[in-house]
Amino acid sequence: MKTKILGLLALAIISTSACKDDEPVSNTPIANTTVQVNLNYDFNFGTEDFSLNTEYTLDNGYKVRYSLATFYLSKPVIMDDAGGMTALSPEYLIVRPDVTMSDLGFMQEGHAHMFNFSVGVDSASNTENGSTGVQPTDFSDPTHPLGPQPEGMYWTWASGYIFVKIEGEVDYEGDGTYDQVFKYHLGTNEFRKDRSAMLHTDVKGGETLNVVLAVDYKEFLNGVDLNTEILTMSMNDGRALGFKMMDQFDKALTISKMDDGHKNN
Amino acid sequence: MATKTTNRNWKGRLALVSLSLFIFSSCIKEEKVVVNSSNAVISLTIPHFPSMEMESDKLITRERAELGEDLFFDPILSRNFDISCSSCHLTNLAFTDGLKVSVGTEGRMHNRNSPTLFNVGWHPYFFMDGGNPSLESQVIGPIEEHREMDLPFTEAIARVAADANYNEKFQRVFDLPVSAYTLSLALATYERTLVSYRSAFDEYYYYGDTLALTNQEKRGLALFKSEALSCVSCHQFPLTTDFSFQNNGLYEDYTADPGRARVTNNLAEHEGKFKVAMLRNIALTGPYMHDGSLSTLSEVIDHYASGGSQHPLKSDLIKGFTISADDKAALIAFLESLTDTVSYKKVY
Ligand code: HEC
Ligand code: HEC
Repeated sequence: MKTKILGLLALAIISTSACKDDEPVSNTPIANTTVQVNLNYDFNFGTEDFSLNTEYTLDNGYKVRYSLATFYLSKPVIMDDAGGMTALSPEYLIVRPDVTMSDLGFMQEGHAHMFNFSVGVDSASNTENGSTGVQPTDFSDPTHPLGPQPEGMYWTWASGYIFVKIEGEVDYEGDGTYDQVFKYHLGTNEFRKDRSAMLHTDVKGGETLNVVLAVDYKEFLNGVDLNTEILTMSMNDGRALGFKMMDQFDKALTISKMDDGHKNN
Repeated sequence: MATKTTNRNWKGRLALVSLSLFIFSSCIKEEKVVVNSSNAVISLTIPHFPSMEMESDKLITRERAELGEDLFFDPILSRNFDISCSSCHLTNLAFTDGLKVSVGTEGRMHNRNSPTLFNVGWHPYFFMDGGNPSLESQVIGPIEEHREMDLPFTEAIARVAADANYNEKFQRVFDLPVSAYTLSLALATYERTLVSYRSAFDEYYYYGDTLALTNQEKRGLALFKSEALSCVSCHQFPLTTDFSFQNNGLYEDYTADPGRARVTNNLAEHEGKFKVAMLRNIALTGPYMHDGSLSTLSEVIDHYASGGSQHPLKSDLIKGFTISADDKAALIAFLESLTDTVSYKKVY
């Protein structure tokens, strides 16, 4: 709580002093050198658009419908080709199938070489086995991504954030009756996926860098036996399946730069 | 983000500037409650206990504790408005429920026995497997747990916030709206005030009242501390636990509940290890052990005397012993002397 107040105070001081410097020195407008970074989401089921509570057919004829597909994305960073890093904000994002875009703030113009982030919550913030880190009850701001979430993205008993929470149902015969529920609650530090994607693009001040994060929820189930591989809380007996499903999610997730045709600058 | 200012020096100073409430005094049998303003900081200084670890934004005030108490007894936090924290942590049973394992909403069975909440403010981590780091985040557990109150925490916050009475109180007490932070802090603050420190044993052992224990109870205490029984090695004074995780040889097979391994995924080192239980008020908190499988203190002693199972992770201290009927009665009498009949009174 205190840091927050101090932070606000500090901000206030910085902005007042900044005002003084704002007095016009010359008439030349200061060149805008900042680039807006947006993360666009593209959720699919194979070639179809993906949404919750919609029926899709797998290649083996099983029908599936997802009721939950939420995950944490953390510490997004843009790296230039000299290894310089721009930490984007917010540091943590909770991503659901109904979001289309996240505003990741600004970077300086130049070369955007790589886009790095993690699926999950970094180990310093994630509490595990009773160690102190960040807990949902630390937040009075109801919109903070690490605060409590409606679908429950935190295990109180094993203390840690659930990185990826996916639930749904499968209809084996395709007869309109759902036969089996599947639940994949994936988390613990070992499960975090650190991703790094090549952008290799030059951006100028005033432009927008649009990065696209796509998840293919058909690919997620590709090679999963929905008769047996249906439930994991990532712990103990469910650990092996948890690792597998986290790998599945990692495979289903791709990152690209939005092609120039879509560049909105 | 809240600051993490858990730091002993800072706390030491806080204790000095705060209005100290010395709640133990060997010569005066009544608490000296020196709280004159409703928002005075209560410092729970119990001379023979270690100081309570607390972050600087989590100080105990009477108003916060009262707000937490209201919530603790209010079924508003359960999906069906049918159970409250106090349904499983009953005041008259030292905040346990007298059942083998707890029963939550719609009669759903838990797999564990309800532990006492007395002195919970001293625990370094929560639950029998230590999977949770704070009294604040622990609060989410029972509220969301399917076999307890079964309500998403976000809904619990929304419900409490929609209650005009609570809303007004939260604003007044915290100067903040109902949120994950304030709701959990209120409950945690109330829980920190649940202290038990004035049993006959305390009077005898720490305050020199030689008559506080009978000769039989004194003999029981000596057995408890004896090399042969080694109870005190794990159930260390003054809190009667060292908070370590130990396998006390209850079972050969811990598949039903692997204890600490449940949260570490490390069966090789942690299978069957549970947080050493507190024994204060033990006469009131049966049945015993994580699953309530032992009904009486007599059965507990029989278990330790037998040496327990052959589990490879069983502590070396659980080696078995022979005990006469007379000595067993003395040990039970000592355990019963850990019952505290005065701490039920509020400290605020
Ligand atoms: C359905 C019964 C039930 C309800 C309702 C319930 N508890 Fe518990 N409580 C338990 C059981 C059982 C445990 C032991 C769980 C474990 O260790 O895994 C426990 C453990 C705890 C602990 C940990 C103690 C320790 O020694 O580590 C705390 C603190 C606690 N409860 C507080 C609360 C609060 C606060 C509420 C209300 C928000 C509450 N409980 C509601 C049954 C219940
Ligand atoms: C190696 C450490 C160790 C030793 C030595 C030990 N205990 Fe325990 N004790 C534990 C642990 C761990 C638990 C909790 C086990 C569980 O929850 O299943 C426990 C639980 C208990 C309980 C039940 C508490 C409750 O609320 O359910 C009692 C009573 C008890 N011990 C008494 C004794 C006595 C008497 C002795 C000496 C004869 C003794 N213990 C020796 C570790 C130990």
